[in-house]
Amino acid sequence: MGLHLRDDEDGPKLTVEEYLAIEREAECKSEYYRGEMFAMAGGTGNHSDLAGCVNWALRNRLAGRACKVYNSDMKVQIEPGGLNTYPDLSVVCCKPVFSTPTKEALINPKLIVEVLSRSTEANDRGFKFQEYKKIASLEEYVLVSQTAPLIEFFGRRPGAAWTDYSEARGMGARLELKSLNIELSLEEIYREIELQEWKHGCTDPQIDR
Amino acid sequence: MIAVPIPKLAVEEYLAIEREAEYRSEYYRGEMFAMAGGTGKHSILAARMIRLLGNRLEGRACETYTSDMKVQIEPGGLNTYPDVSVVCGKPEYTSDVEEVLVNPKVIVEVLSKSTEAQDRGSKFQEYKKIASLEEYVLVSRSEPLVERFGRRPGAAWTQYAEAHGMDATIELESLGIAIPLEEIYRGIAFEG
Repeated sequence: MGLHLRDDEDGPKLTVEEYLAIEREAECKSEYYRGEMFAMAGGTGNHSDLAGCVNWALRNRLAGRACKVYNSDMKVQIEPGGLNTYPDLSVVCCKPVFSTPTKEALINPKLIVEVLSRSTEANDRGFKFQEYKKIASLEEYVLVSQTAPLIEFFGRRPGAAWTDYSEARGMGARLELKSLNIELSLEEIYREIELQEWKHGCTDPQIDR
Repeated sequence: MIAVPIPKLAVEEYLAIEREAEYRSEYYRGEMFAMAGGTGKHSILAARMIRLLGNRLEGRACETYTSDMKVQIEPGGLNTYPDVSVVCGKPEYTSDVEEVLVNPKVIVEVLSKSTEAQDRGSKFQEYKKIASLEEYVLVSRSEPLVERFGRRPGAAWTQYAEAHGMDATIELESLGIAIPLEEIYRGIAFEG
């Protein structure tokens, strides 16, 4: 969750419809959670580049199949009134389903990808993963490191509990995405990426949620 | 920013400082990092995990360690104080002084806002290098939620499970024990 825009906890809550109306006109993206909006930090060039490389690799592998890869322009709604957020990448196979006829918020991703950054890592691995688990259609959650050629993923069989975890580490490693039945090579994703160095022991203060 | 070269500490120097220190520090690749003190809830949850694990391991050749015990991942690499470490069989230390444990089978961390990213991210990556480690358990402070990562001895980390809600039970397969979350979180207040 990004910057908390409202600290008047007792103030009137926004409905999700009001949020969507604001979002349509807004100059920066915000997430919505239980009546409140949270501004999302802009990503760095490196973050954007890495998300683009994963997008490209997914699109290559999924070419000719009935799957769509959405970038972070696409909101995903977990449940009405609950979290509305912009994952770095969302993949839908078969027919995308949206929360409104205006197709603003996707509700049935099969796979979500987040590129980790220092300010969002705790949320992406913790709170946000807990929220994403509520998406009935979701089968895989993929976390992409900026500090090493390292991709972790969590998985489940449709309708079952989340019981799979694995990591692909190193330029020679390959990432198997079972829900899509494809494999990505870390070499093709990280080839042009400048790895970031985050010092051990330094973490950004976490925003209350 | 101008990088100021700081002479790197040897792990032996770190240990010597740590013996006399008034607060704990971690060591990583030549540098020391002060560890934050925990809150009441953090300490209570860690104590309960130690008690619940200890009770279930009674009579078995397993010991439960508090966060007084350092764990070393590799010489010169991370030396840190996990909230709870469990060893089955003979504990192995880096020296006869028994300051630093090297063969935990299970590590438990109680999550806090300032350490969650590391506990789930870079620290887990370090812990994966411990050959003896088979289970890594994360205990939430903000709701009744315990997650576990697991592997079979010597194999890759491929298992994940969560126990969510007061009625749930977390199963620690490497130890063959189960702990109801009701026992971990009984009486704990959650904000919001």
